[in-house]
Amino acid sequence: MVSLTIDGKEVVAEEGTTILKAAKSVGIDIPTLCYHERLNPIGSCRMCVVEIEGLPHPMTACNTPVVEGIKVTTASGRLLRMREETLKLILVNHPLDCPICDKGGECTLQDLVHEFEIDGAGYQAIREKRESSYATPLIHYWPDRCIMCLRCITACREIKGLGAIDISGSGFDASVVAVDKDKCESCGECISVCPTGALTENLSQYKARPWMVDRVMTTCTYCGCGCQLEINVLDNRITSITTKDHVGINKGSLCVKGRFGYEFIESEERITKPLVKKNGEFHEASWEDALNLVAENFNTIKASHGADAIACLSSARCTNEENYLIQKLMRAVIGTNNIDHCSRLWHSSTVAGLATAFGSDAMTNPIADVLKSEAILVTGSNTTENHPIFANYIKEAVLKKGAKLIVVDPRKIDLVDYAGIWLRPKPGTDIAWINGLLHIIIKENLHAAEYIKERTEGFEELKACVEKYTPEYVSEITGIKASDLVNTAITYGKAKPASIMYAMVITQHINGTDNVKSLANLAMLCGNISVEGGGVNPLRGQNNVQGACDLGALPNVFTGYQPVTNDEVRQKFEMAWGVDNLQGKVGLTVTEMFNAAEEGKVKAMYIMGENPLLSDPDLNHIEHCIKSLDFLVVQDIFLTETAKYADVVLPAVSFAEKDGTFTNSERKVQRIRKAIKPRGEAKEGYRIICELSNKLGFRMDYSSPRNIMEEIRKVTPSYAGITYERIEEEGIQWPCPDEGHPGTPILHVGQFARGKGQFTAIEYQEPAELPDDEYPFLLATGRVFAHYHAGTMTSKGKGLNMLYPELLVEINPDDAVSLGIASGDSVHITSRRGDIKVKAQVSERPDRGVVFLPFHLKESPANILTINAIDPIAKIPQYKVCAVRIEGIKQ
Amino acid sequence: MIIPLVKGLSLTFRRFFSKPITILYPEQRWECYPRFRGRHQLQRKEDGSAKCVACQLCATVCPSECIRVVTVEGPDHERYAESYEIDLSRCIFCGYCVEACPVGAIVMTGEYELATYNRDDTQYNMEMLLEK
Ligand code: SF4
Ligand code: SF4
Ligand code: SF4
Ligand code: FES
Repeated sequence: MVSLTIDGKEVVAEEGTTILKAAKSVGIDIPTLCYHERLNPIGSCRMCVVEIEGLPHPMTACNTPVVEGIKVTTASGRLLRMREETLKLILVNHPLDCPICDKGGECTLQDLVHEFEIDGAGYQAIREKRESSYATPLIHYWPDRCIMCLRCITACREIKGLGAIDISGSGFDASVVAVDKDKCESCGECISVCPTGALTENLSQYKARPWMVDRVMTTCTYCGCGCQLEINVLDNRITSITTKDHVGINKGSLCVKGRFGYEFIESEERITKPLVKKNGEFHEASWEDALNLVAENFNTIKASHGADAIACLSSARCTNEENYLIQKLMRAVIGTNNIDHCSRLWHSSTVAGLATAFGSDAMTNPIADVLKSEAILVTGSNTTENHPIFANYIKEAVLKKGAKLIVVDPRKIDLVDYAGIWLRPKPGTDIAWINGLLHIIIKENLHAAEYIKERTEGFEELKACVEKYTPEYVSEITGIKASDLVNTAITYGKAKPASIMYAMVITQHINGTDNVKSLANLAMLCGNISVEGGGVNPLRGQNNVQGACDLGALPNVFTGYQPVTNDEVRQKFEMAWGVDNLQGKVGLTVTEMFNAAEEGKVKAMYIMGENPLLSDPDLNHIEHCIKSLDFLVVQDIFLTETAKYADVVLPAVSFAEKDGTFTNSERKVQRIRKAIKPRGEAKEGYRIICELSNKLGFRMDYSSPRNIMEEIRKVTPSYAGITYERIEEEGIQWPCPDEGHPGTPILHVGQFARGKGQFTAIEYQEPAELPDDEYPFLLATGRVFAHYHAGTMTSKGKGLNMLYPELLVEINPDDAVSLGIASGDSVHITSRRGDIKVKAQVSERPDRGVVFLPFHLKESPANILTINAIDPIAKIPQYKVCAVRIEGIKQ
Repeated sequence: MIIPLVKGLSLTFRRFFSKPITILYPEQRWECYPRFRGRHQLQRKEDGSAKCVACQLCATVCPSECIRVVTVEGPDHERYAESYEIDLSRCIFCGYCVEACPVGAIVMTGEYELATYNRDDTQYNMEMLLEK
């Protein structure tokens, strides 16, 4: 601790704090311009000058650390004059075009100029109008307005870890330019830190001035990061997305989808009226007629074929409240457990795998914990593209906290640039390398013996099983060098604590569940569960996968994973819902539903906010299944590929038009808020379900999602303490058993949810479909950062399509040469199930023999090719690996 | 007591003989003073386009909230008004909008004959406001 005097006040500050922070702690404000709380001090503007007794020259407060006994003056006449001069010098180059500048009204420079009562530059310089292009088409750079504070450059380097922009030129000619346009991810971090209007966004340019809009705080609708953002609304239209510096896990950052991906909400293609199909064509109908038709058909089918002939696909895109209601509708009103959602396609192996190992299936630690990890193992997750904000944390852990990053991925993903170790296993050989690591860690005696004895079971079996996975044997299967494997094992084993992150590439295999259990083995072996900075963390793809699972949109459990097979649980729900015949039989999963439809066992389906005809594997098969249905209802915001086959389409609303909650990947329940009125006659999901239920003869009266949450709390122990009042400002992480409970950031502290942690001995199996002579390439599918999932939303606006307009298949340079293909050539990709035509991009990212294809865009749906072999436990389809053939198309 | 009465009456008597202030409207029309605040007019640039940069300051300052400006972006990132409407039936002719405008795009003319037979005619759009 250091004590000093600032403006006559005694201040005690920690060693290493800056004078600026020390002053702030006692309420003394020093004007700043280039300083930003999230960045290391830049010290470029000299607004923050202060005098220190005994020193001849003033010092900058933002980057001068406190020293014992110094006397600081922050506001003498000389300092004020200096600051005024500084501002005047800035104004020489900065035009006073505030009236036409988007930033006018919330510009730091404008505020300071006002405060110092300056009305013009006082100096003149010859200025020419300059134009310059920026790193991304989504952002416009105004060189004249730039004050060279360097915040943007620093933010790009420190927060995003990219360094895509830098300064070029000097003096009046200096400007911010792109160092490498390909590096820029268009996340808009630079815009959000720029104190002036030198950076503005091209999508919402001029639509509204800052003071005219209402800013509605809500949660992003895209990925599982669950960023907090503000929707700016003017006259019921969305003008832009902004953030608040301290709010949410993102702390003011967003990714390109969050910041620029809002155009879909106001797209002309939104459906605004219920549609009913007559003679193969859609006709607009009233809500009354459409819902009556649905109710009638459900009733007849239920009467003639039984309740189990009706199935429902809920959605990880919808709110917790909607998921709860739809599963209540299926279970209490229709009387079947045939409800599932697409998390099956992403993460149900996580649910199955982690539940076996620990007794609970979610991320064990909050993401900010990686800042405390010594080592981070990332596998099967292209984090920078799929979970950009989580990736920021990982980069920060590496760059600022010195954590060691281990990436295990067949693709050369962007995180590899930050990794100390990068292993490149052949796709589908995950169990082998994990077992290899276990083998080495046990051999090297790096396992946490004490922890294993006290808190886990099954260790001996595991030990026996991994005995044969010697580095050499593993190397043969996976293609990883034995020495690299040993190195990795030692790095991971020695780090205390170490964290594991994984995503779809691990789960989307026929042995996905086993992959997950293997990772759990690894974490438990080193005692990394239930400690800060450790954990096994499945990164959830969609915004509310976690919530949809929590709220019982699964065929085997009610809310909070209470099994439908348990009599006591069923009785509890019967009491709560006022019914007396809840089904005890586990329902059908997504993949089974479609197969059952083909066999004629399922006659009708209700699909809420999903587009299986683009996102599910083996599309030709799914299409056939959907066509065999007698009756299909789709509730969505667009007329999706699936909706085209529907008999009734019900127009729902987007996240900006409704209230509710999402649960992010860290189990944090966060509010979403209604910012604009629903388009046309579209209705909030909960209203649609209530009205349908009423027509089916079961009263559902909820005046708002808040009331639904009240009911959820009563029946779900892990959500019991979560009320709208409590999460108004900041979300709460479940389990939260009562209203006094602060939530549970880290799971399994003291004891695993299932009692003892379970090791599972797992043998390596070969993937279902391996390349052969006829289909020599392995195809991996995934996403790219500018698009999201089925592309239903992201391809609707001009902004994101500007960045990634068409599908490109990535091919390794060596393969490209042997096939005679160059970037931009069209190629045919053929698998045993179908073929598509796309353009090729030659890239270092995939390994030899592997090609990568994003699955977002409907022009060339990648999932025509993928295989429908499923994991026997979690029933997750194996998307990630399938064999294909590639041929160039001769022009 | 008597003195103020005489003072007051003397004014009254003087008015008997001075020129009357009332005029025979509409045969005779009143010439307004240069700073009179009548109907608004939007100004043009030399090239004939509207001067307004659609900064919304007039709409923001207007106490009766009767101005509506829609801003759009030109191909060269220039900012201009796609539409500009004033609801004269609500305007209180305070002139704040003129004062707020940073580019002198809006002024107030001497026109005071604003009565209409129809309520809709009190809604002035951009073309009407640009007319001389
Ligand atoms: S663009 Fe903005 S943040 Fe970047 S140097 Fe210029 S004024 Fe600073
Ligand atoms: S990181 Fe995810 S939650 Fe955050 S803005 Fe991007 S898509 Fe939205
Ligand atoms: S004169 Fe006053 S009330 Fe009328 S438009 Fe201008 S600011 Fe508004
Ligand atoms: S704020 Fe300290 S130098 Fe800019």
